[in-house]
Amino acid sequence: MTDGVQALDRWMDDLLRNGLANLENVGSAPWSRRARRLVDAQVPGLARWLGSLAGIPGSGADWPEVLLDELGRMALLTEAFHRLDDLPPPLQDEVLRRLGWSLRKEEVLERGERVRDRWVVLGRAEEEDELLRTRRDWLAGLDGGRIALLLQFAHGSRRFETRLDPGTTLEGELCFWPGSNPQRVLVVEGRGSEVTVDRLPGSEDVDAFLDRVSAEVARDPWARRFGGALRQVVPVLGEDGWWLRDRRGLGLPFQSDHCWNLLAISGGHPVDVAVEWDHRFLAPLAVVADGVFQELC
Amino acid sequence: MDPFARAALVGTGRHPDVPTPGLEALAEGLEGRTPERRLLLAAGARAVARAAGRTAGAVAPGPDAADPDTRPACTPGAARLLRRLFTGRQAELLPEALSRLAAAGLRLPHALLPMALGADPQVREAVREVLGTRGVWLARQGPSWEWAVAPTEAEPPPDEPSLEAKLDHPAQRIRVAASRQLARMADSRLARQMARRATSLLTSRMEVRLPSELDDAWRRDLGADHAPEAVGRKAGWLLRTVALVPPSHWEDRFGRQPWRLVADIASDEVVLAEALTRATLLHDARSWAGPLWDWWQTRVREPPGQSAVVDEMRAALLARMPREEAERRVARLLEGAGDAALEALLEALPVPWSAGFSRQYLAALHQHVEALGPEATGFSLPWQRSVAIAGRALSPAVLPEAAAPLPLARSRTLRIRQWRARLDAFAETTRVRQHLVEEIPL
Repeated sequence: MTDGVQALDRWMDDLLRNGLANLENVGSAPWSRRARRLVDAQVPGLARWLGSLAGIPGSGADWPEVLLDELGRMALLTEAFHRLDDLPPPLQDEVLRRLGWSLRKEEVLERGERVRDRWVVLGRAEEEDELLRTRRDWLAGLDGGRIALLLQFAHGSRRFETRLDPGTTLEGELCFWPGSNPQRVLVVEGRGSEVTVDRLPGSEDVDAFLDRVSAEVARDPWARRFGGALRQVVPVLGEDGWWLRDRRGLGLPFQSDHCWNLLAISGGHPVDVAVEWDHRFLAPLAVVADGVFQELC
Repeated sequence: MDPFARAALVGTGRHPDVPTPGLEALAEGLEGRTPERRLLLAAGARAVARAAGRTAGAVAPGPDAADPDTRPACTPGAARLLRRLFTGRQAELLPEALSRLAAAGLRLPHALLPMALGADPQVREAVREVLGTRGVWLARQGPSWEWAVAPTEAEPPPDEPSLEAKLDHPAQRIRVAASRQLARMADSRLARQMARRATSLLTSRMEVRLPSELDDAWRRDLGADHAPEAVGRKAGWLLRTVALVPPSHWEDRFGRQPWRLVADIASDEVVLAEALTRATLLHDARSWAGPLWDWWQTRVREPPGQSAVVDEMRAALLARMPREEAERRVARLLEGAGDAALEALLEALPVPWSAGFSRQYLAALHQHVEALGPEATGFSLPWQRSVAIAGRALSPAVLPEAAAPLPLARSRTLRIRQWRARLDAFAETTRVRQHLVEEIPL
């Protein structure tokens, strides 16, 4: 593992010494070659991260900045790994998890925090490549206000192990992965209700949502996906794209294949929107308008 | 571009002095590291700081919110069905689904509006009826949805002088269109003059007297001079002239009813029959549609290579008859191997068919399929093609009957396999339509 991380450090140093400009015309081959070496060196988490950067060069006017942000954060991670023993144990968990050190279910159940609540399934994001499908279901505790992520993978056409229906409530116990900023969960036990919610528990305005993001980044500087719900926001199409605007007139930009659907459903009226934030854009996942929950798909 | 990104782009090999604006405290901790590593770690720290310090921007409000809809949305089941039709599967059923929605006093659910506004231009009129308040509100903001916002302005009826002027237009298409419009104005100069000219071409026994030459004024009023293919030059003048005159002119002139006049047309006077048929279509002379259809069906002595005209005339006339009359005429063709134009004629019938005609069709189809046998002897392409039309056109009342399996042979010959594919598609179409009927009750 250490060898693989050190080799990645040297590779990143070379990139920076020669300049990122060279990357614009080389395609994805260098990235996937380096990612394969990381897999061989037992750091699959870093391999996936690195592989996902291949599309950035040349992808927009600001690509050098976007790529430098990513590489910089990756360097912070390898730096943290080299000084792992100096870090508090919960942060060590985050670092190791990001490198690709996976915990077995029994370990999660043994070490993770268990939280009982009525969990609303806010919405779902899915991604797919030729081999693997990734599903992220975001949940919010009605009583405790915690946000939880059920992250699942399925190969090919296989089913996901745990099935939750967005818009419904799961009454039961979740177990959080151990770490300094627990997001990911296992469902320990729970009983789903068939009834869909008529409002989403979430942040009353965009500032409150960003405060939560700040707190999470402080606990885990590599956190990059933040689920949740924005209450009573209006989708607005501006000159510079789509925005969700809260009742104080502040907002964040959003991107989706379903922007017009969200606008159609809201009709310019405030709606509750389940979102996922990635530091750049919100992705709307579901909406409650007139007390009716609808997934955006 | 910010200084970090510029340094990274060029490379620390050329620019070893990494700027660290705002990150001086951090830079101290990085003393002794390589320039590359210093740049990376500083960039990483800045990325994290930006992510944590992100603030919301002021956003200008959007347009006024939509007024409430007055009509209720359809059921979720109907919404799923419509989504499927909008995404192109069985899209041919979209017009029926949309008009059913409108007839039931319902509107599209809001989530389907972007898809509906982006639908094919052919279904726009049907979509417009079920957009509701929200749909129009959305269309006003959309990229290319003006068609749904602007009320369809009825074009002002053209006035005679402007149409007269168009008779001198260089484009024949414009001239012919103007000539037809003027012919439909009951007391226009062209209509009056054309009736007078036509009178000189026909005797009261419906015998044709071809003109020897046209004067310039006549030629101008026709809008076009050259004859259609396969018709002589003079016959072309007759065709164009009589086609412009309302058929009622002949009733008045000769004092006889349409069926009597049509009965007098000789079986080889195809040009005259075509001219009267075109006049019937142009002037919507419904009382002529039946007699002319019967002439084309039973009297015509088809000139070689002209069957297309016969089929075209029959299909066009069907669409001008009352439904029962049209269906009665096509029902006679359902027996036997099938008229070569069965497909075109069925297509010309008003949709949906009556329950009675639908049952006649299903019974005839059953018989035809049964008679095919394992080798598909008596194979008829018009019959095979007709099932696609029937799937869309059958009366909603007979859809459950249409689901009954047909006695198709089990052999694997090519023709039987083709039949099976057609019948499977037919079954799927009628199943979806039955589903529509259930989800959108009237």
